[in-house]
Amino acid sequence: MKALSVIALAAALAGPAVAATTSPLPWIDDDYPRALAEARAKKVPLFIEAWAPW
Amino acid sequence: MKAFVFTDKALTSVAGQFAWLALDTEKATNAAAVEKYTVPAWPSFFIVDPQSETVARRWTGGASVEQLVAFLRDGRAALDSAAAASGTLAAKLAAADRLYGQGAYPGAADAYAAVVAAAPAGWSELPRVTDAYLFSLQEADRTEDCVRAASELAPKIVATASYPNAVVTGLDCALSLDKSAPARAALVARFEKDCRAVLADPHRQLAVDDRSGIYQELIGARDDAGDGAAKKRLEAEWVAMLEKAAANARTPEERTSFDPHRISAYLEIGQPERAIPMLEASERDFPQDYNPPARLALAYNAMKQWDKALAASDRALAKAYGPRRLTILVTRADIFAGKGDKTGARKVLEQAIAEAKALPAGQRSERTISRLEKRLVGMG
Repeated sequence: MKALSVIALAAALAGPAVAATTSPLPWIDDDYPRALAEARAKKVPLFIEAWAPW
Repeated sequence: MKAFVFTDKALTSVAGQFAWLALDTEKATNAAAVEKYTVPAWPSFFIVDPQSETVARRWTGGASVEQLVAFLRDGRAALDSAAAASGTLAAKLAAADRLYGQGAYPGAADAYAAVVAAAPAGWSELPRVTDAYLFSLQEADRTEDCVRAASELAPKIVATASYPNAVVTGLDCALSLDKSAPARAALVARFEKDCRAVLADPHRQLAVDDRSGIYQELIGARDDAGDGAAKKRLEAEWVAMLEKAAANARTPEERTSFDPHRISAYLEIGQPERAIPMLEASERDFPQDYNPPARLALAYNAMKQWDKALAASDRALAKAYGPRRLTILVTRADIFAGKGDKTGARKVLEQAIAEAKALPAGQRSERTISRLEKRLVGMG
C-alpha cells in the first residue's frame, strides 16, 4: 500500500459527480478534442481532471 | 474534490485562465485521451501545453482549494518559463516535472532529488515538490530513499497542506522497510507520532478523506506492532470520525462521498452490517450510480447473505461501465465461491477476463488480466 495512494484514492472516491452548475469553472465533460481546441483558441493552458466515478 | 473543492467560489478568479476538461477515465470514449497521459491514481490533474500536448505539471490525488490554486499558478508559470536556462533550478524542476508527468518514476525521483538539493531555504515550491518526489520514490520502490526524503523534507514543510502527506508517506515507507532494518522501529515510531500530532492539531485544515487515510496508516502501524488494544482504539476513533462527518454533511453528495471510507472501516472492524443503512440511502438518492449497490454487494458478501449480495451485484452491473466492472465481477465471483458454487464463480471470472481483454488501449491492463487469469487457475 502506498500512503499517497491512501490519501489520494480516498479523496478520489468522492461519490457521484456533482452537477457542473455547482462549480464556478466552465467544465467541458469527456470531450478532449473540444477542450484542446478551446485552449488553443483562447491561448490558455488545458487543465485536465482525470477522475473515475468510484 | 467535486463535492468540496471544485465548488469553491475562490476558483472563480481562475475560471478564464484555463480550458477545463473533466475526463471520466472509465468511459471507453475517453480511452484515447487517457492513453496520452499517465493516470497513476484518481483523481489526477494535468496542466497541459495545448500546442504540444505535453504535461507541464501533474498532481496526483486529492487537493485542498489552497493546493489547487497554487498548482494552477505554478503550472502557468512553468509554461511561461518553459525555456529556462539549463542548469537553473527552474530548468531542473521542469525536467523533473516532465518525467513525473510521463510516469517515468525512477528518473523523476532522481531529478527531484537534484531539485531538492538545489532549492533555497523557504522555497515556495517545496511542498508540492515533496509530494511528487515521495510519490516517485514509492512508485520506484525505493523505500529507504523514501524514508530518508520524508525524514528530511517533512520538517521543512510543517506549516503547509503537504505536511500530512509527507508524514503519512514516511510512515508507509518506514513500515515497508525490512523488519530486520536496525532503524525501522525508531522511524515507524517517529512518523506515527507525527501522524498522531496531525490528527490532534485543531488548527490544521484536513479533509475528512485525508484524515481517514491517516487513520488507516496508523491502524496498519499498530497492527504491524501487534498492539491489538491500540489498534482497536484507533479503529473506534476512525469510525466515529467518519460517522460524525457523514452526520454533518450538508448534501447527499457530501454524505455519499464518505461511503467508500465508511465501508472500508466497517469491513475492517468486522461489522459490515453497519454499512447497509447508509448504502441503501445512497442507492435511493443516486439511483443511476453503480457504487452504492456495488458496495452493498461487498457488505452482504461479508455478512454471508449471498442472495442479497448477488441481487446488489446484479443492480451494480446493470449500471457499471469500464474497468470498474471488473472489480464488481471479482466480488461477484467471491459471492459464488462463498456460497459454494464453484462453477458459478469460474463463469464470472471467465466473463471478467473476457471483458478485461476487450477494453480499449488506455483502459486495458495486462497486469489485471494476469491477476484474473491466475485467480481462475487457482480455483482448480
